[in-house]
Amino acid sequence: MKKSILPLGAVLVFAAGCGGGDTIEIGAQTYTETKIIAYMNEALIEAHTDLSADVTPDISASPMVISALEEDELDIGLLYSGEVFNNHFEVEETNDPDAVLQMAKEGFDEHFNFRWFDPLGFENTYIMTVRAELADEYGLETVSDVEAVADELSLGVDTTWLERDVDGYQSFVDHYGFSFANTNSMDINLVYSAVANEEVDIVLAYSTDPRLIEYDLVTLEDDQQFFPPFDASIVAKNETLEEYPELEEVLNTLTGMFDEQAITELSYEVDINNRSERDVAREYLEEQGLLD
Amino acid sequence: MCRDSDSNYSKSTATYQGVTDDHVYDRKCFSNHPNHRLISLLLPLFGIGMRPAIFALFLYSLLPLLRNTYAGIQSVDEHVVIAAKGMGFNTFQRLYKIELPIAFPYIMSGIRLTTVYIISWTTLAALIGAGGLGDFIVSGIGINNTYLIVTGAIAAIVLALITDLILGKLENRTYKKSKAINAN
Repeated sequence: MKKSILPLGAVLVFAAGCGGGDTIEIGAQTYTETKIIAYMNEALIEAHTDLSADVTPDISASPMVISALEEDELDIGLLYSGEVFNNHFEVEETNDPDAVLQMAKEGFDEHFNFRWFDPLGFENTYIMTVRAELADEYGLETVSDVEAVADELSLGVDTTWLERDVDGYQSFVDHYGFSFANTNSMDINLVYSAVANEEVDIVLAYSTDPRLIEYDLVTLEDDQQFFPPFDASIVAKNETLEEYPELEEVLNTLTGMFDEQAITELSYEVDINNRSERDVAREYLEEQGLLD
Repeated sequence: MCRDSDSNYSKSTATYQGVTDDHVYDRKCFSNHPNHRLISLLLPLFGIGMRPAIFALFLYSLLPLLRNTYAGIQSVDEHVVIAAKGMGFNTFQRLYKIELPIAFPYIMSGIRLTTVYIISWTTLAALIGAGGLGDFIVSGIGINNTYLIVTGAIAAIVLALITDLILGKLENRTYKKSKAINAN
């Protein structure tokens, strides 16, 4: 009997520890940069406040992060300004980064009671990407160049893009005036190897992914400005910020700190060099002297 | 799923035990779902699309089918087997005339159960470009569109139920037939 009490006690203590109280819950999506930023926030919160923090990685889609925040399961997430085009509330159609950011800040404050922080500095948008040989063969530099050969190309995209309203496939076809021979939707983490292994010819990648470099892929300029801006920002619940006012300053530490190259290099350490997101995040903060 | 989340799998599993009533954990399970992971592992071998999906689902179906078939054969009364031996049945005759017919309900229930599971698992094949009803569900989740999710999910449920119904009818008919043969 005595034997069984110890693990039970441990589980209870553990459960109590996870049950909120003074733990800040941070959510991250399936791709690496969201996890790195989450672990950075975790390290910063633990270094500069008395609160503890816990990261939930691999949430499969941004609307899930939002509903988890709404349901009090998370306190902090990382979202991109283009998220406003995901049917959360009425928005105007615009590609101006400042206008989109403003809509995100105001909309999520009004409808969800979230605080949308100033951008971290990098943008991670959709970008049409091909193998280097294919780009050479057809002389592709911009998305418009693809039109001439689009009916021979099969397109690989993430699981949501085909159905997205404002910036999805249908709108793309209307905007650029051409469509592809066929489309394959898959998890975003697979598009890079799918195009590198010639499973598809062209993919819609995320612009800061280090696998673009690793697989020697060529990105095509969005010359007709179709894709909306996706500036990354930390998002937190207003209630959490009111309860723990010390968080605000901590969460602003990373504001404006990264450009695309910086965040890609950090993701490279994880995706290509197989290091853990937590180590990479902490090491970076230590180098910057942010944990002292 | 990509390699970078592999390291998280055991870690997240460890945290599950602490909190069971937390919906976030369901979501974690989804993205760390073993099906999803096996399917992704097959990418270098089979590429994307239908082939890796079918292969992965085939592998998943093996164990439940094997288990039920084994349980069915095991359930055959030892005395029946001894009697069959006494009547001069060889191993194959025993298998075909005695053991398989008696084990039939077990085997069939394995097939029915596995079919229903496979239909629901197939929705995950959307993640490797195999399309199908899973496309509605997964993109619905991604773009915050409940109609898409519900459409895909209900269609998959209906498909699973209809298939189960058909297999059930088939089972009854075959079972009656084999009974009739045995009675003669």
